[in-house]
Amino acid sequence: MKMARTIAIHSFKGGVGKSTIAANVAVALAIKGRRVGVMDMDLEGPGLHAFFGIDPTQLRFTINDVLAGVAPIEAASVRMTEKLGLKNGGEVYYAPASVKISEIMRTIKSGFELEYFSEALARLGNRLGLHYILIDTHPGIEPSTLLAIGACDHQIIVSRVDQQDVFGTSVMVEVASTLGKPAHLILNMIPPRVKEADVVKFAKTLASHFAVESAGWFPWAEEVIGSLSKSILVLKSPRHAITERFRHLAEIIESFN
Amino acid sequence: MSKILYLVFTTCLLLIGVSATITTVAAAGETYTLTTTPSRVQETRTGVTLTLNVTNAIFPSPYTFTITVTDPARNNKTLVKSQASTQSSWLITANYPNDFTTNITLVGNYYINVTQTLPVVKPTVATGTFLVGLTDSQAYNRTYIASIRAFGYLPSDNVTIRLTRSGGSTQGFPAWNLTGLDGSFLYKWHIANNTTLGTYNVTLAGKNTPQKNPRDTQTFTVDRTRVTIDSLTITPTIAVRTATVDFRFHASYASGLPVQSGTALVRITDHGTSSFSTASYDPVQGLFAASYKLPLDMSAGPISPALDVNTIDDSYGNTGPASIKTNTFTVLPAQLAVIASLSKTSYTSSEPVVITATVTTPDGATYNQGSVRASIFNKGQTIGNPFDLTYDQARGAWIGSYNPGPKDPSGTWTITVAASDSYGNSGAASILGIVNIPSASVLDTYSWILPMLVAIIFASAALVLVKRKVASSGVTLDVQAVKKQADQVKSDDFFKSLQSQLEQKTTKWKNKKETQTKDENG
Repeated sequence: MKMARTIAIHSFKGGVGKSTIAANVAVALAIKGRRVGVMDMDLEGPGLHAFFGIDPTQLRFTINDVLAGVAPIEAASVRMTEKLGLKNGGEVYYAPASVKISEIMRTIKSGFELEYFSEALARLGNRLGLHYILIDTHPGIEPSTLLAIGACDHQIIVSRVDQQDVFGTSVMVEVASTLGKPAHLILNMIPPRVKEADVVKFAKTLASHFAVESAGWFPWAEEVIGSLSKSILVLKSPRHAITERFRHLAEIIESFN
Repeated sequence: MSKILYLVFTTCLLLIGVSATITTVAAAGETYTLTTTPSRVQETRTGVTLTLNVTNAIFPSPYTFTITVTDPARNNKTLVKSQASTQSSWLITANYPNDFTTNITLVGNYYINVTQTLPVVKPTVATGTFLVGLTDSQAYNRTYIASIRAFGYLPSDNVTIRLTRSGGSTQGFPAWNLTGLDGSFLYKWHIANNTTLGTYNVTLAGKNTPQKNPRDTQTFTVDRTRVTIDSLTITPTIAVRTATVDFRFHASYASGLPVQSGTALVRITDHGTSSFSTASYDPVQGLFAASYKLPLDMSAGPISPALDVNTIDDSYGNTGPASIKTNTFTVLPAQLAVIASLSKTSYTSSEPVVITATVTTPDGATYNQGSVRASIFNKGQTIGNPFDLTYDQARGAWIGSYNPGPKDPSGTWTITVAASDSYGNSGAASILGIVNIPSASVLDTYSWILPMLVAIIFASAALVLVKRKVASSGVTLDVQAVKKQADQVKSDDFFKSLQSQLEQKTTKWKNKKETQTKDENG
């Protein structure tokens, strides 16, 4: 069986829409019939559970337990297919991170090992027959982020067009490049006054200096911000222009070699 | 306060079972000291150790004593103990009730009297007393467990336990429990964090056991309990102004049980003024949490929020901590995000260059204080004087303009917009604009040359810029600085370890592939 393709979704700064993209693209891929795992690796500030309407405190195991070696990864994965109303054969499995401070601290202190994490991802892909595993990471450049870069096949780096963010994003791309991992850039929350041509030009300019390919851009959308990270736009508003962009991103992911 | 200290002190004495010296009666020659250990017990079989210490004794000589214990029902139990004196000082010990072949089944004071019959008859040489109760302490703090123990009931009898305070009943009482086959009774009362304070009276009565005389009854007190916290955690430890800092801590009662209600005040002192952030219990995280948004004028440097003495209250009057708890985080000036734009990308000398800038603080809020200034450069030379942008409330942006003069150079202008304030918060961004200052004669004679010149100038400027900086949409990027920062990450031990693990993984994968290929080729 073909191995699941693993894609880490990073950002340098928090609040740039990383989790929104992870949740929506996972569902967009599932709607296309793909079997997708989406994992919350933002161990210090998990938030993906809100999109799926899950209370991690009610779950027996989380990713923290997996990293601590006390639970197999499939035990920390929740099948979301029925809850999301997916009926065309596509599947979404969600692997939450613990929101308990004590467990978060335990995980951070225990360290990270690439081989163990890579094996856990492979195991998840094999056991659940997944096509894709999307990993929502912690913002910034730190051990858990580097671990995700090292363990995944592809990196999607989400950035706002903002001085600090673009700088940090460029550093992340440069680091991913050193580890031989292809990076794809998404410019998000583009203010309405910025023209598309300028965004495209900017993305191309970045690509000319760093080993990164543009994977599209998303305009500032009140509907997405207004959902307060509690719903999945692809399901809630299937005809929304942003939904179309999520679908396009899903197609780009399908084209990853 | 002194009452509380006394209460705590006496409670400690009773809990740890300190030996108590009761009375010393000296006879001619010998000195006799009687001690009871412990001085208070529950109704039990293990009982009390009575120790008679005799000094200045005659030796060699036989000594004989008669020890009489009178229980609260005025019944006497007697024990004769003998000792061959071989030195001047020695001890005689006895256990009550085991050595007296009885049980302790009544609450109240027990009196001990010791007489000597050898080598000479002496009436009372020592006396003492010990107390028997039902509870394992006479004073409790909330959240502890009161262990109520009794003895002398019929086997498997149904014993009713009544607990009253000021004559009124206590929630959960009367309760009942069965005695064991040996007639022993045990009941544990978990004193809640909100149990009414005061003096309680506990009374036991068996259904089939004849009523004891005196009855099994006793008083004890319940007082507040102390709340302690482990440490005050601050996240992040380094924060820029306008960021929100989280304070978290676990609170426990002195008994070790977690505090799961109430509020606490976290004090943040800056510029000599204190402000308070209220921490409340978060049942999801299982801890107390509060947030504080750092104001733009907060002092840069270390700040030490504190939980002052008794500022945590669990809503029931149990307070803590007993001593101030503090921690430190560092405040950095806010880096203001400046996004500047021009109304056009190409101008002629007759058109004002209008600059619009939105400035936001790190939390994403619009920045509309301090000053925002623009400076224009061309080929390293300053054009005109720096000028202020003014805040347009309606547009939520800073706006200013520059009118190019006929002597200003044509070409690509770099316009730097810098925002700052007196607190040290700052930020800047640069944008490019192509400004064409036409000369009449040039235009007439060489109208085709100018666009080409502008193109050449722009291309040259762009060539210079891409070597070092990328600029678009009001955002500039220092490529060298990016590489330098990335090099720092790459020099980190964790990164090196990761890189090495990846290389090993790749090598392992290649070897596996080669082996597979060899196997396939036979």
